[in-house]
Amino acid sequence: MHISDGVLSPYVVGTGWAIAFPALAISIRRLRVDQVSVYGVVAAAFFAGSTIHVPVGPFSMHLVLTGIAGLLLGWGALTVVTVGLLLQALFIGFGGLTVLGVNIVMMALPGALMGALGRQWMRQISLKKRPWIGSLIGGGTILISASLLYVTLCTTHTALMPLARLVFFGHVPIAIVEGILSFWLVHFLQKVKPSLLGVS
Amino acid sequence: MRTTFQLRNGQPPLIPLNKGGIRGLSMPPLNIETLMHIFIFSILLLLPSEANAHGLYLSSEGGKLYANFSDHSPASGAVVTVVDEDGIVIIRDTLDEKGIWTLPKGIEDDPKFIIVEMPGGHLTRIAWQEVLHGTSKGFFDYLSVRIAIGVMVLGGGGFFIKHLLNPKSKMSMSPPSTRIGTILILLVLTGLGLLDNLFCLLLCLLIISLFASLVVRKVFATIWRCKGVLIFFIFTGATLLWTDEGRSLAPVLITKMLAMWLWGVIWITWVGFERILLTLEKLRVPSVLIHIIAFTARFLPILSERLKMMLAAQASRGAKKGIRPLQLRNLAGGIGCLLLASFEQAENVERAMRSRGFSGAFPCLAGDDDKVPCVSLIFLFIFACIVWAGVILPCPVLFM
Repeated sequence: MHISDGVLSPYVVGTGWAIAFPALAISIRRLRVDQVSVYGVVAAAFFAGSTIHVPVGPFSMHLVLTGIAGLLLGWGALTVVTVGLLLQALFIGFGGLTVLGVNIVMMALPGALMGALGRQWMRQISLKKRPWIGSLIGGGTILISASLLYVTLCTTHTALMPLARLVFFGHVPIAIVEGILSFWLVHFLQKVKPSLLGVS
Repeated sequence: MRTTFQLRNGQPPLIPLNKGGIRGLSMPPLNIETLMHIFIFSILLLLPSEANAHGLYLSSEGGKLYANFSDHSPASGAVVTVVDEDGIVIIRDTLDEKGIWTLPKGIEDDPKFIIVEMPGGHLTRIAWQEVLHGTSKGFFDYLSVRIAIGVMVLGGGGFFIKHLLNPKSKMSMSPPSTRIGTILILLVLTGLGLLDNLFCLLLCLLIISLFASLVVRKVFATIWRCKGVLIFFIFTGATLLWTDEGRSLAPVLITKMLAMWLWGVIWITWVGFERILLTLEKLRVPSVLIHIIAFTARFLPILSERLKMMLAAQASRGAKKGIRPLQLRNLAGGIGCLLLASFEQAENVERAMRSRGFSGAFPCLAGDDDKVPCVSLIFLFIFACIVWAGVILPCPVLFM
């Protein structure tokens, strides 16, 4: 899902940064300065979790976990996913540095927004329905990110439309798998430690 | 209180830094595998430039137009088109076997340009007035001048490279871990992103790969480790080939992606992760973000190892990876355990740090007493100028 440097037009890159900067600033302002270690360790856990590969037929896909990050951290997930994106760009070359703003808007922002909404929603409904919300948030976030990726590529150049279509449809199975995974993850967490989901 | 990420003696770095990254240029021993990588990479880079190496040049004398290639062979059979100011064709003809075309007399219209075209993408033009009055022989057209410049470039370049490769030399290119250095590196990266001219991009790619092979050789080891990224480039290139627009866009896009990726790898390998954080902090990036990045990098190997152990434990109990409901439920349980363990570990770390007086800012561990990396900054400035000249100036001014 990461976009590499050099693919997008300067206008799209600029728009990405124009949205990402204020969003990141709000997220950072909301973080507690004395809890940087907590965010760092959790970011590392999400980074490690997203490297898990699941075999799908002859191919293999890796988890994204931005929806779950949003459910657990709320608005703070934006910073955590941003750190993950930056480290991926620096160390393993997945995604670029100049397009980091676009990648933040595409991957971190939907996760944070959906997660914050999901946390509010979970407080208002019964215990049995919470995993379904988790599933919706987990899978829905991937679909939103894939749609944003499609729009980003199509607005850059018409020649990138075949790539955009392929990437979008390639993410549909990922969204389904992540939806099922999020269902069981929320089911597990509300049994073991529901405070992580912001519910008692 | 200012936060720094300078290392004390004996303290392990977050990410192992290259020797060149700390002590200036220190060349790792060359083995056959490294040499092969450099050789293959250079060949791959130089192949596309072959298309641009065979230029077509025009000159005139005594009412005759001469068209030659850069190797002085005549452009015989080339199509000559005389056009007026509005681009309307007045005369169309071909050059003779010696690449000469005699100007016709008594043209009623007002010719503006002569365009000479050869198969293989060679296209150049000259003003009609310039042909009428004859082109003057330029300074660089004299053989003696060319030989003198060649000797100077070879001698000077050899002297420069010799000093560059010597770690004891004052000219060694130490990492530009300063504010200006970081800004210049980011300027180059941004400029590469804005470049749309294939020739400029190939030139930049050549400079970057030469720089990597001469100064930051560890880049090639990093590239080899991160070769999975190349699959994305190939995938992007393959999908571009489906449409006509894509086929014309593909060379520029792939070259740009490769150049920018390579420059990013050079940055992290040359400067080092901790020094990049240090300079970002100097550039007023919020310290909270810098601390989270540092913590993530430090805990990443630990949590990756823990995840491996969890998955191995699951596999030993007969769990298999897949997309069946039970398999996904097992996987979700594993990820849940990892997250719970990480939250508990995070709370422990926070308590431990608070007990040691941590209040959101690290104490200053060491002063920034590094020397200013003048040679590196000069190189980066020149390279940034080249890249941005390619962005700002129109293509024909530079390369036609």
